[in-house]
Amino acid sequence: MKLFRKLDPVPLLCAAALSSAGIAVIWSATRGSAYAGLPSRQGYWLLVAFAAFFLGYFADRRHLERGAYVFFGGVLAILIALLAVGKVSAGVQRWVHFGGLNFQPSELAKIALILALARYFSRLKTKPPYGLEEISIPLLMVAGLALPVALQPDLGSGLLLGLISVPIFFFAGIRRSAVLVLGLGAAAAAPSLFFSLKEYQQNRILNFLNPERDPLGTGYHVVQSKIAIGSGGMFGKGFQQGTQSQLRFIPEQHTDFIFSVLAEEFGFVGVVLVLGLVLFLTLYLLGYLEYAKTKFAVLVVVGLSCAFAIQTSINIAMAAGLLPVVGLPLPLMSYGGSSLVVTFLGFGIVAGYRRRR
Amino acid sequence: MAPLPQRKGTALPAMEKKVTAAVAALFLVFFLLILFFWNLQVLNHDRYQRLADNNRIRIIQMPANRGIITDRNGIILADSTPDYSLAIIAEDAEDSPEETVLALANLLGREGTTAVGRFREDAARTPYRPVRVFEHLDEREVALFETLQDRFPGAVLLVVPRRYYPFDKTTSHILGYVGEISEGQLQSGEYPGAKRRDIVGKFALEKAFDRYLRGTDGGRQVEVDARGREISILGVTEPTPGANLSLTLDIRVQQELEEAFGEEKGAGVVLGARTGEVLAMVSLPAFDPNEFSLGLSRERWNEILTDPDHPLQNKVIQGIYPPGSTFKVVTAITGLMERVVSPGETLFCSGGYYYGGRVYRDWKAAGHGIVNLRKAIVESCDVYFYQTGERAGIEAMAKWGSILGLGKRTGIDLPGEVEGLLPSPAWKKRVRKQPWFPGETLSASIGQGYVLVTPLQLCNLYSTIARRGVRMDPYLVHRAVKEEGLELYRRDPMVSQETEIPQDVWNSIIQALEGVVSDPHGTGRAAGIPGYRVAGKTGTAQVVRLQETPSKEEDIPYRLRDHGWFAGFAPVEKPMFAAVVVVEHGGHGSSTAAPIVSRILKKSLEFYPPETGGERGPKEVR
Repeated sequence: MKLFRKLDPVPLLCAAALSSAGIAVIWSATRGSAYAGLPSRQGYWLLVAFAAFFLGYFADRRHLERGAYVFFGGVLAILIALLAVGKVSAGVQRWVHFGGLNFQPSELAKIALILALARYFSRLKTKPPYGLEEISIPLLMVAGLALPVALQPDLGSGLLLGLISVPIFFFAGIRRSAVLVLGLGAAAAAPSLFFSLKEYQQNRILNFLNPERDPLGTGYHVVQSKIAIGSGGMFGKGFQQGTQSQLRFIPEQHTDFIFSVLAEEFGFVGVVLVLGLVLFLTLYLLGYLEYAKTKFAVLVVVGLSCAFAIQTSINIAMAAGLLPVVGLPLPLMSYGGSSLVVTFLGFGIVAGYRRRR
Repeated sequence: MAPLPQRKGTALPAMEKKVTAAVAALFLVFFLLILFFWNLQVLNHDRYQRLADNNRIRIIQMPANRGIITDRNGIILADSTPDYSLAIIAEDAEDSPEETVLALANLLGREGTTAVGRFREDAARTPYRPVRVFEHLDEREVALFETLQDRFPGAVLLVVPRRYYPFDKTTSHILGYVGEISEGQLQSGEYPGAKRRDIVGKFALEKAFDRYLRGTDGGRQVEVDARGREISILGVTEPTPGANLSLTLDIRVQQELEEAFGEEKGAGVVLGARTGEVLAMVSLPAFDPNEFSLGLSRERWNEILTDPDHPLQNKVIQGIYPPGSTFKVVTAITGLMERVVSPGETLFCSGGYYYGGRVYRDWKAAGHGIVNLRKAIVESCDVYFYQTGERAGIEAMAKWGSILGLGKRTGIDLPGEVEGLLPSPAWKKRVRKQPWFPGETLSASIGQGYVLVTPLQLCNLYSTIARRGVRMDPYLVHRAVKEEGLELYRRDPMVSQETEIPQDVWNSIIQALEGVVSDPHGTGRAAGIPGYRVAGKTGTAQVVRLQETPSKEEDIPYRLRDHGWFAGFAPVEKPMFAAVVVVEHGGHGSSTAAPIVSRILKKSLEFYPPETGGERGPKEVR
């Protein structure tokens, strides 16, 4: 038990608290439906996630840095292979099946990308801030992972990969001119990107921009989610008492829209508690920068902590109708083993830097 | 809060600034999120709570049955049968409601595109309201849908009561028809308490008694899930059916009268001579009211509207015809009351009457010879009445005609009755802006010219004669009774006016009218019934004045042929039934209308033998 003596229990406890709350909400959201077995399965996944935390926690830091590109290459290969021969289920190829387990490699792509970017910037000989020349390779890395994920098609996860790399670029240091060029480039590429989307994805974006466009179609989901949130009020309707969730008005209510169920049943108070805990956990993890002695370590800690906060904010903003719905789980709380395990793995890697003090 | 890095020598330059920026950005994002949730959950809570309730609580309408209409013997003339419709609740149809409509059309083997069109037209109005896309499903279609229901999320089977008229055309003009309330009717307020999509009476009794017949819809308040399945019932208000109407009509007499017309067109009415009750009322051609209950296509509706025979018109109360010789009783009564003729006085008829520089012809060119009042009525001598009219004057005829009920509505409880016309110089001045020409008095005295009556007015007139001057208003609806026995409406025979015409006048008139049927020279012999004394009068209403008198009736084009009248009552000694028939373009009343009246009076007397008290006797069932 000597190994665990230095373990800081705070991140693990926070993550466990959020995950347990998640299981409770999943329970409420799936009660009496065909998904009623999911809360206990999520419980098993939580055990796997604890193992993943310690995998990250005890991982050798040098191996982490050296293996970053190998890991990146492996995940990229899996993603491409998945595109080529992956099991087609309803036009969506997101899962790797081995044994009885299904795993979403797009979740692993987040960690692979963060590690690879951190390694790249930590080995740069030049001094920051960096210009376009230096950042062209990391940009290709981002695109290289985001593209196959978006093509699965999992637009949300693809865009997320782009967003979580922003704090790493920021901490690595980029020239203003490069930022400007990137911004203009993105704006120019947006229309062609839009037209390369599948029709339902285009519709979602158009409906977000103009909810009146189709109140009964894809816009319906957001409307119902907002009704659930708003009708929750200050203190909520009570556990398993949400009419919107119990009568299945909320779409994807145990996965992408789990937060709407929480908001309906536990009200504004529940929302503030969860958001507060997420913020606290993120800041606490950022606090580990104190123990980050290398550039690689800093970028990994920043990347992983911010990825958690970014994905949480985007998911919640989607549920509240502030962003177009693109299908993205709420970290720690949505049903889904891959997301839970990978999130814990990331926390483990961050926590590991304290052990290595 | 975790300690933030303070020490120098961190791995990156300007670390503190960057950490501060990142933390500030995090706080900002989470603060904005919380602010937004505050707005949703606290500030706008009421609105979203209401929306959530609207989502889960639905009112499912339970339409009330329309009241039943029965004839005087309790035979059902209008009933409600369950009618199945398929409806779509757009919000419950999973992906595309329109695809569901098409899939259903495919299943039922019905036409899909118009149904989709209907759905589009309607779907946006109220959320969660089922939109009817296929109506009047038969048993096979209902069974088919029920077995495969799960494949069509959002599709529901609605049971709506549909109006059904077992005697279809036979009762069309009396009962009318029902249909969905129009936007204009909804706005006009003529149907108090009616809601959009309600079925209301649109014609005849269905319209006039709509507020009695229409019940109060009920509803079930149910909690449903996102697929529209009922989870629990929160409350139920049972529908209240409308009141039942019982009519004075006898459907057997009605059927007999309709049959008696054969292929002919026209109108006929039978009144209880002692009561004013309508026992039968036929207007031909008729329409099928069941067609209306099923919902008419636009083409069919136009076809009915533009039919030259006006099947929607109830000719008994809306058809106006010159009364022809049936009007001579009015001239006779006027002459007797004004003391310009007496029953015994004789005139000579040479086949024409020279007046104002021209000859007014008698229908019998050879003339009737010496005629008194009785012979004049029996043989329908025109010359006698030209002179009677001339002596009495148009004002007197208008006065006595009005006392006898002509030129004004009878007040029957059907909508749309017209007044007819009893002309007078004042009327002509007012309406035609012309003076009255004396010759027009002569035309009027034989029921031609400006005089116009409805068959009901004429029947009412002959009933008044049968009652020897007692006028009663005809009526059709006896009672409106709620299911639990509460009587909302009742009408019994009522005297509306007792004319002060003395018995000896009635004796002369009635004896003469009996002679029309019984005398060897009578024009109405075809109206006779073996074993009964019948009184009545033939009439021929000119459609156009022909330049030359054709030798044969058949030579005249159908549309230009005269209308044939017969008005009469029986038995003479104790009148029970009065009947009037007009056969359009039937030529002389003696040949076309009289046999129909004979047949219908005979049948009525068979159904209600006078020995047992007639239609008011103990046999009557209510």
